[in-house]
Amino acid sequence: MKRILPVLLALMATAALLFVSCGQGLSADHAEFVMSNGAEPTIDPSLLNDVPSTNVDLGLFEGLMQYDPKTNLGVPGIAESYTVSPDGLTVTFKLRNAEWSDGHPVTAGDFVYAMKRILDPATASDYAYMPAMVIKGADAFNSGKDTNFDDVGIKAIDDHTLQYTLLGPTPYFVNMTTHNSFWPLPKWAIDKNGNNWTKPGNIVTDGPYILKEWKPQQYVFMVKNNKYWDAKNVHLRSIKILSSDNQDTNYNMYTSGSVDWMFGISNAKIDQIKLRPDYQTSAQVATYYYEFSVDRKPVNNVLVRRALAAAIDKQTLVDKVTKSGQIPTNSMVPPMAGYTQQQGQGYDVALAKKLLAQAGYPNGRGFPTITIVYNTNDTHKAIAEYIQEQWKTNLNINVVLRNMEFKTLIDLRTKHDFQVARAGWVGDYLDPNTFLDLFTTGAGNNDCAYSNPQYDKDITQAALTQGDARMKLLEQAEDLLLKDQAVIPLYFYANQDLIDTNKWGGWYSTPLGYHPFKYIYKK
Amino acid sequence: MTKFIIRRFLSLIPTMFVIVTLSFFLIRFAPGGPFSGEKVLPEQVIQNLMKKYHMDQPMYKQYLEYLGNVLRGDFGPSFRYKESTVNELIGESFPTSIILGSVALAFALVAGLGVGVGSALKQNKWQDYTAMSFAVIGISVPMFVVGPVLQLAFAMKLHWLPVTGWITGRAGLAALVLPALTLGFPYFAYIARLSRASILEVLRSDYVRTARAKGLSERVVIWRHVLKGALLPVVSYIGPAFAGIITGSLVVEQVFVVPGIGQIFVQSALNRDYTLIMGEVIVYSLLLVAMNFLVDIVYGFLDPRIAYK
Amino acid sequence: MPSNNNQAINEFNQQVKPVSLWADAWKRLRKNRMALLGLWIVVIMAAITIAAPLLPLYDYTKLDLYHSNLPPSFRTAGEVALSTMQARMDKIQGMIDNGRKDLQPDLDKVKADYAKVQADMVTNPAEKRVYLLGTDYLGRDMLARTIYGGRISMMVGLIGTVTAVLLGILIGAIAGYTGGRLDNLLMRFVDIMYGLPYMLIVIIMMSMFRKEGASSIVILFIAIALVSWLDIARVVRGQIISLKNSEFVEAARSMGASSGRIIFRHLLPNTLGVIIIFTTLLLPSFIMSESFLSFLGLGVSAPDASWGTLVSEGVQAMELYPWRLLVPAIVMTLFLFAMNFLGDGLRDALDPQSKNRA
Repeated sequence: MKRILPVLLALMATAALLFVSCGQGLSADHAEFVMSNGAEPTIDPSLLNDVPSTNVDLGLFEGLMQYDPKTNLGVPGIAESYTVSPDGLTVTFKLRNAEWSDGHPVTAGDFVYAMKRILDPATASDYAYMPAMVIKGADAFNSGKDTNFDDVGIKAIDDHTLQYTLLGPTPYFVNMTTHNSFWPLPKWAIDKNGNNWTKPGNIVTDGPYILKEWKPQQYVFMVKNNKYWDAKNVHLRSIKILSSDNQDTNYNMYTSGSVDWMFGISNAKIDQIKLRPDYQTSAQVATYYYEFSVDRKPVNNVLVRRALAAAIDKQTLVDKVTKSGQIPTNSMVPPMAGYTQQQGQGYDVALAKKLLAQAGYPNGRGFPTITIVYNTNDTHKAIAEYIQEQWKTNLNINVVLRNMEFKTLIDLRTKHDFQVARAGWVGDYLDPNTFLDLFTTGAGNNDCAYSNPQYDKDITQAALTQGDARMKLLEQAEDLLLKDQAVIPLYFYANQDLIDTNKWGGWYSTPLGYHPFKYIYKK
Repeated sequence: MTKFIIRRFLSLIPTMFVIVTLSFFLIRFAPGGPFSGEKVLPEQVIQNLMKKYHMDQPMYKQYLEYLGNVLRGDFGPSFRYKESTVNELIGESFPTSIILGSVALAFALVAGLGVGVGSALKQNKWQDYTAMSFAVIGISVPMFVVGPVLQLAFAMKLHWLPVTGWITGRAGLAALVLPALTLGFPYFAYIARLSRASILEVLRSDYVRTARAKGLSERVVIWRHVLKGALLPVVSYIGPAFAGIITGSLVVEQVFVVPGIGQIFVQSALNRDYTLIMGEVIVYSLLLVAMNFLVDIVYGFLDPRIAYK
Repeated sequence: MPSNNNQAINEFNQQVKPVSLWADAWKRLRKNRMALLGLWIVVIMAAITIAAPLLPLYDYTKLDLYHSNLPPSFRTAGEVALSTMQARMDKIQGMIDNGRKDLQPDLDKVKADYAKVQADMVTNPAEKRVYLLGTDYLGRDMLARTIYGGRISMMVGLIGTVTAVLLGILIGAIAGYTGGRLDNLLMRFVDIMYGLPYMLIVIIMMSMFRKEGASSIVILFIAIALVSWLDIARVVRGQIISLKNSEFVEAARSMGASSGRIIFRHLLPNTLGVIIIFTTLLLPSFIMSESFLSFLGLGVSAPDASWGTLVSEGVQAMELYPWRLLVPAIVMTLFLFAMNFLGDGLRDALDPQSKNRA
């Protein structure tokens, strides 16, 4: 005891000293705009695959097009203008005079280099599939079938002219170039520092901000990039992005004034928070739905699936259970310009009962107990509990709920080893295709094992068609999907943000949830 | 004694080997893998990823390669934190956890032993009941309640302490108080209960009775004889507890946004970040077997009755 | 008196009843008021949870979305709901008057709900319910949920404790008493069990056993039993080592007592105090580990609940709806308090030093 105590005290003192010295290192008050973000695992635009990392990189990098702060559609960024050939297969961008943060000019070659890097099998980029989906030859290069990069449809005509050759006329291609998989990269910096090129001091960026400090799991600190082509319109001097996942803690930091913008609200507090003047909510291009594994009994019967769909009151679900501005839906595709959403089965108890009886289970008699699987989360749980009750009350059938951690659920879903599963899909770009191509036969994300030749034909055909005819084909496909009731769309997600727009300007509720820092200013 | 220590030390090597080997193969049986997510990746992207992380090799080759790297002190690249190696991730977060854990443990030990001794000497008096009730609360109320309640009370309502510390970096020592209290509270309660019980035991034992009969003063009896004997159960508890408290707690780290090792401990398992899990397992096990090794040796000093043969 | 032939005779040649360790302990336990109080509380709580289906409780799974988050009250649900909504309407109206015109839709929604409940007051029997301890986020009765939640929590506590104590004592005692190579082997096994990534093992177990169709409750018990005994084994081993060379053990050994007899008759009774304390310390951790394991999908499935899941749901809502945290937390703590005093009393009662000292 006598010997332990001094040791302990010494330990405590050292700990305290260490902590104080750490504290001093960070204490300079240089953050002008503070947001809370989830933890960002990476900064490298070729490797990132998650929302928090994207939020960080939107301050650091800029592609040909950049997100409009209100609509999230593409507006010219590094590209000054673009032209699309009449057949829609060739898109040519004219680059403006822009500079990297170290003074190098941003050239068409930087885009070609970045494309080569992301498609290179050795890079093993998750999002390589985005360019591979639309650019000619990209898929073959990414899979290693074709090792000659000259076959890929991207070409620097000169330093200021960049040309893409596409697989088909792709109306959303120009918008797509806002995505990180199309951004330019500084070859010289990557060659010099290898895997460490994104560390502060090494990193070279072409966006409105430069990375000053990066402490994984703590924060990212960035300051205005004076070399940015539009620097005169960048208002915030610096931005601090905190890697905090806990919604309750984020809310506490927000209300105590140490955070200016946070997103994601704990459902338990929504009744109070939604009355706040600084609570911002808007529809998101994302669908929350339940999916069926269509080969599993008893949901292999389309009548059963339709009965289940008709027995859910979605309006009450969003009003009384999720309560935060979600929009109930009978369609899979969220509202989009030029596209008419198809209406699936709505709430109709009489019809639901009739359909179930037709399927051979009058008043639920003989209907086996079915299981809903979902990943552990309070909102998912409340929704599942509500739907369990709805099906019990309206159809007199028994439902078991089973929660699990996320990767286990994903595993069951990809193996189609479930009856009903919770799912959500966030649009990768603003086009109906991103919600529909996942249900083609054998597609990786087709958890339902849904297969309809006509559906596949419509989707393939749409990729080769332009304009209204293309939209017609997509509408036709969605209609099929909903008639077959492989999924029950429940609602469109809502963005939930807390930011005082009387204090901060240039921040708007947006459909994709991107809020470029460039436009934000203090009022 | 020296011989015992050497033999005991050597047994750490096979222990670590078994832990590493079992973990290496076990984690690959978990459903899903490092590359599965809400959006399923196309087959060729997965192929590329498998190749990059050498997962296209046969399992035994991967294992041998991993073992070789670990012996060289290289834990490999993380699957999720793509630009970081496991060495970097652990190296960055572990010091934080050591600081927080040491402070929490020091609080738990000092307060726990003090309360435990005090209660035992006042057995069945009101002081005893109060202290023990406090300890029961410490054990019964989980950290995920204690943390948010302390945060609400002391940071949000009273404004005495900051909501979070590390992340804003402005609060200095004050930021350490709430997370250390939350983390240390259950350990404090454990130590208080354990030391009280074992002191009561020792107080009745023959050698204490002998000491008293010899006419030694009560203070000498308690300091020299009672405390020494009573520390044994506390010491055998401290071994694993130390490893546990140093490797942090997901709850405390999330609530107070502490960039410690506890968060990546849990996240790596949920993300199936194989290399990071392995790194964590090795760090934790090393700490644990080392602590248990020390505990066994401390035993010999604390209790003259233990003979090492 | 012929029937007294078998009875023991004390030193004053009086007949006494033979006193077993347990009878003696029970006698002394009855004298300890705190312990007895603890025992009563545990028995009553266990009885209530077991008899729950017979009690006049509301269905703990039945949701009523118009009754969500109602505070505890003796008044009928309809009245409480109306007054809560009235308060909310007043609040929103106040804000609208202060220029928050954007809140009009929110006000309209509450008004519609108010009208609906008001119309229902007479006809709908649900409005006549009394939620003594309030309701949760889907309008389910907290009283019923807490009582039913006790079932799984108590069971987890019980099973965890029993396996921990049995396995822990067995392995700890063998290791401590035999010493040498076996001790080293067993303790390294304990180290290995500590070191393996527990969370992933549970995930693997779950996906494996689920295919076999085992219920998740059974897997939960296995998962808890798997690691529950580690701490206690180490502590018991430590105690045994420190006692095994003491005089009374030497004495027993010289009289030819077998190892088993020495362990169970002489060593373990002397470590019982620490074992019991450790057990009461472990109990809460088992109950809480259930709520962690239920994150992985073990244990109760919604809409069923346990104390652990109720408490964790309540934490997020503690500012707005404190009863959702307080009700399950207080009940759980009360139970653990009772177990604890009972444990203390048992320890005192079983203390071999005080044997026959009534």
